Amino acid sequence: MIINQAILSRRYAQAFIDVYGKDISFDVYKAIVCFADDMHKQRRSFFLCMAPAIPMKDKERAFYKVCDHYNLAQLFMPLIKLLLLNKRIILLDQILSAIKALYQEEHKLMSFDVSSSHPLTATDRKIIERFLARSTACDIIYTNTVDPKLIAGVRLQSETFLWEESIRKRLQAVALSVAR
Amino acid sequence: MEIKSTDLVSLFERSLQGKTQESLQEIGIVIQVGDGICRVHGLINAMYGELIEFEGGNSGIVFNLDEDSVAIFLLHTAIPVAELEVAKRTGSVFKVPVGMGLAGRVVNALGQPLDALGAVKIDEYRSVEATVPQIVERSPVNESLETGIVVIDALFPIGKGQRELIIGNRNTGKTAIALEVILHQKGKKVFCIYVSIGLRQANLVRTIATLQENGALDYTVIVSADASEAVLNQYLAPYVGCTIGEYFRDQGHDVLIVYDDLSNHAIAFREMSLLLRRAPGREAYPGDVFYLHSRLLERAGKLARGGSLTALPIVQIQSDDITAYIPTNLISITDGQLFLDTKLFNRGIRPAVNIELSVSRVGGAAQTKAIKKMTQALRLELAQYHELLDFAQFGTELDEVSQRKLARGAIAVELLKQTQFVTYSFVDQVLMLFLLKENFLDVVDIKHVNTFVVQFISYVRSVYPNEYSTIYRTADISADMMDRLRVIAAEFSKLFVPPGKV
Repeated sequence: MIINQAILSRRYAQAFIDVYGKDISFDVYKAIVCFADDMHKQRRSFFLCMAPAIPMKDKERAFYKVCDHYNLAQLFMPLIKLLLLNKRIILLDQILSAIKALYQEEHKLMSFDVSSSHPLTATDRKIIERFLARSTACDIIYTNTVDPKLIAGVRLQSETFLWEESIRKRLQAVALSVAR
Repeated sequence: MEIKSTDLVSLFERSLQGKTQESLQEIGIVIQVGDGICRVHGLINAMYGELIEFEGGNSGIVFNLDEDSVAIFLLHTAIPVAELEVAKRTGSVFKVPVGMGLAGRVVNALGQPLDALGAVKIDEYRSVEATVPQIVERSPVNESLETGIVVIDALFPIGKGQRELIIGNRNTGKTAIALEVILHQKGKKVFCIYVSIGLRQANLVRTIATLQENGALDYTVIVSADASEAVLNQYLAPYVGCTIGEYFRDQGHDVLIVYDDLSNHAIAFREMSLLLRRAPGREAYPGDVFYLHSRLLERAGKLARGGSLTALPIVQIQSDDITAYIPTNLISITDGQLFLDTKLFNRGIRPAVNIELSVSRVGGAAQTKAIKKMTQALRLELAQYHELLDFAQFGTELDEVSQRKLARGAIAVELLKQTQFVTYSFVDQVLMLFLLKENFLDVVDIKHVNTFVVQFISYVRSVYPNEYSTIYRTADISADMMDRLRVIAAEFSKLFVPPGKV
């Protein structure tokens, strides 16, 4: 069941943070973010790891290579071995998301996706960062993308917050009024 | 609907001039959608019952707060919600528009008009979950709400602020009784609200047509959540109707609200609870199904500051079983019930009110003095009649006294029959019951009882208007008036010619 998996994943993540939290610097955290994003894209292949025909050693070796690519082998291999042993490797993607969230919560970090209709200047980025820092009382990490669908404007979205001022939003409001 | 380009331009201009969002909006992400319900991850500060808006244009109400997600029931089935769509908190609960402009309109459970008569003039927005008036704010139910139905006004009088349940099998005339009560409120300054829950649209169209033909729609609001609507709308409809009624009541008016019917309401709530995976109880209803109806019906009452809200909830039973779960819940909540019997209905006794199983707990306190005087022994006579009827079926020979009681009871039953959508004022009812009480009907052939009574009423109204208006004005019948009426009735009895005879 999806909801139980989310709770279970968070428990694993909390345990991981409790044990290894002091070893996670900001650079290590950034590596975890990249690792988590890539694992999320490849999450469907985790089903293959559940296949009993593949020997455990081969599965561990494969994951070691992947983790080593991000210099996270030492940190994550104990967790991965535990998940493989308990046939819960399918939760790895959700566990990594939960680790990200818990780390952000502990260190008062918040990540935002900043979409703009046109490329932002350095000044624009600073203004946005200051606004988000003031609004959330957290340190901000953001990724910037250009989304022409906004037509004109900016959209700032995290997992729990949203701020948008764009022509697209106004047009959607008009369309909604007409539909109602 | 034709949309003019000028309308679009002005909408767009208004949208552009709108205020910029000042702060970050709390959001969540949709992780699961299906069966009118969606789960949203995030919304960590969302409140139970809060209104949530989706970026795709839909909206919903929070019904479950779990550790990691919230469960939201959607308000619009036609607007799709996609996975990973953003859901925003509004910070407020679901509110419905209310106002005097709702009188004469047909609206859905969201307060949107369905009658193509344009926008409704709204005075304010109110939450559908309201605090119930406390004991100190209430006054005793001591004012009669005339239903125009003789058997109800005579034996089970309803007062303003009372909750009287109408219970019976399918096709026993439950809705007909409710409609007759609404029709009878014409000219009595009582606003009426008819809430249709989970019924067929064809039935509602017929109801609206009946109200319209009889000029009752002007003071009636119809709230519709038919069987095709989302289950959330069927759940909300009675609360929406009650909120509208409370607004009228707070303006000092008397209001009558009919919930047709609460068994469908309970079924909708059961469906919602099962989808939310709440533990099912008896008959698969959730544990709080009693509270579902008790908090709705407790909002009815008579207020000390003026205004009243009278509720007529309807519940359908199966095979005359009034011991089922939902009917027994409602019987314990309400101030009485009108039990409609299928056997009586099939025998042609309509309204098919079972006198033994029906009761009004307010009773004589809400009855006009005139009718109270005329019905002092009526219930006893009818009870004795039904008892003797059982004996008569065995073919036993009965003594003269019993035979007279049988004959008299048969006349009383015949008198209490009433044509659908024909109602009588309390003065007319007083005159009818006077004839029965003073034995003027004993000599009339049972086939002609109703004709005799109707013609007598017409006779008094036209030939003795002073007496008629005195009873109307005083709502009482003095000893002198009784003597006067005896003379008039004797006079009429001589003049009466049964139909078919020359």
